[in-house]
Amino acid sequence: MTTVVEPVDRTAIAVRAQALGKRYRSKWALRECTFDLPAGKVAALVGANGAGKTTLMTVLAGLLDADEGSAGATGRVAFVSQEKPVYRNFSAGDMLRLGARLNVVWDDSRARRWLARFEIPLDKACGRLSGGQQAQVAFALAIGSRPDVLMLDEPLANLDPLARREVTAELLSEVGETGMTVLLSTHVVAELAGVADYLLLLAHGRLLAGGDLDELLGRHVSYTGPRSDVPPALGDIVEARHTDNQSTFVVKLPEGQPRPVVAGPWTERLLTLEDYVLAQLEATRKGARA
Amino acid sequence: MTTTTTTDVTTAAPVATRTRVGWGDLLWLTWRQHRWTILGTAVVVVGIVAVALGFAWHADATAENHDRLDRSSYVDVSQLLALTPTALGVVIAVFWTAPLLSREYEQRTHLVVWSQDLTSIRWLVGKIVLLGAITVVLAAGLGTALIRMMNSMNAATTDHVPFQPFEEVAFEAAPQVQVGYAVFGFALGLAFSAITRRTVLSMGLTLGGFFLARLLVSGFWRPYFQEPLRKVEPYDDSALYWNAGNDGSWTVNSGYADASGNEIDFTRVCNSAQSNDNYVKCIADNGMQTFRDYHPADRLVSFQWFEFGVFAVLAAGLLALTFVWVRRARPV
Repeated sequence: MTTVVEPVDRTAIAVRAQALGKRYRSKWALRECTFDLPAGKVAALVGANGAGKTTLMTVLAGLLDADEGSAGATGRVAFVSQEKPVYRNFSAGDMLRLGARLNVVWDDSRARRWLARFEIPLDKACGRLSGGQQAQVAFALAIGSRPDVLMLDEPLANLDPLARREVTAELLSEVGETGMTVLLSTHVVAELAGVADYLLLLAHGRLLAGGDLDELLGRHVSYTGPRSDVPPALGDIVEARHTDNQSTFVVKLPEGQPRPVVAGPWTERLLTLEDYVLAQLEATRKGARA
Repeated sequence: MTTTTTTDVTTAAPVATRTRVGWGDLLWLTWRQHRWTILGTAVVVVGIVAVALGFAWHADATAENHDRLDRSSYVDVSQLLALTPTALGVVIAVFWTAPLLSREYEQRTHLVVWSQDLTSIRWLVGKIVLLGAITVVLAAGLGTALIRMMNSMNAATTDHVPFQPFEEVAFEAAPQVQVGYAVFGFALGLAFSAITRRTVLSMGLTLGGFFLARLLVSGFWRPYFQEPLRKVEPYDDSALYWNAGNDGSWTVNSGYADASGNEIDFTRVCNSAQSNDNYVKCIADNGMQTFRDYHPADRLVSFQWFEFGVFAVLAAGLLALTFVWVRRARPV
């Protein structure tokens, strides 16, 4: 049954960027960004503050024109900016009416279900709702328009911890039902564990890493052992940390080779998403200083 | 609820699908967002139109025995009403369009509305067409009613008429002039709104810009929309003051001229004249005459259309600027 529901072309590209660049006056906010995001993925766009996440997302959403290269998303795109803006004097019901009026595809029941799920009153002016409730109205509007690609800029930013978990769970269930592609940006990496299956890592306007999350994490290992200048296995050192009597290395293993077996005093640990992102960002910061 | 029913509901969900966002949808959005501004302005304008038409009717009905009217306060009120044309353009500019784009930018809602299935340009076209149409109707209606009132008041008066056609209040109340001001104010507010992205700043600049443009055109350009005619007459100390304007013409300049009609400075040669008659004779002997540069009454309508044209062209330029700006400027 699952195979029938799935789109025929499973390798279809939902969002594509090629040598994408965007500058504000003479300063490049984004440079040489190239990636293909397969359809049906939940992609996390991660980076430090000011890395260019919002710029990339607004260009991909078609709100901003690129200065070089090209970007495009297949099908209809819904974009929720990080402020989760809503019209203050509109009620949540009015916002849904706006969605129905201004979209060529509109699924009212889906939008209403989202609001009901988070217990948002339909008749109260949005200006009198809390920030978190306003965010839910903005999400409902985006969900109701049945996008092929849903782009959320810092979706979890002003939600409480419980709401964060519920929103990600609901998003995943929407993805499961509709097969849409989700691209969400965040700098709170921990909350993406178990949600995202694709990673786009931005630093200083450049794409540091991008790809299937399992694949990326599988190619990296963390080794901890006695103080040493070199890791126990061959590969690119992403991060090296030393204390007086201990060394920790994050190593990117060479492609197409079996995992090396290390023994002796070294312990091997798989990387979590957070380890990976932090190691990568740390490396760029050091690189920038050098 | 079982899994089966959930699936059924999802597949049978009424997903509305259309080919494009229509004018009705833009109309709904415009009305929903601006209904109180529109209604507030419309109620005031309709009230003024009603009072003006009431005055007109009253003046028509009592034309034969106008002595019984309390004329002074009656004319005062009608002259106060006649100032409202100036106000309509300002209200449209400052309260309708100056916040239109800037409020969206400030509250970031432009990102909401422009990321639905319509472009910023189409959204803007919708707002301009719908709000602009209401603006034109309000301005034309107000102008028509006020001109009607002024004509009736003038007709009911036998001596010096209260509304001279070329005077500012009467000239500017004409429907086409009114529409010109309102459309200009509309475009000016919108342009400042798009450029500044700050509501208060945009409102302030619009207010200043509107009055500046109006002042420059009415004070410095309007007298020379067309080359005025010059009438040279022998010096007559009473004629200077009483001839001007009573025939509906508009005197834009007057002074002293020599025998061939060229403007000259007033000479003091005759200041020693003992009597008025001697003075007039002395002036004549020195070859001095008076002149008057004026626009005849039949130029009124073409002047009003020209004034409309000036502001309509300005409005078109400002709208074009707004479109270029919105399309080009970064939305975030």
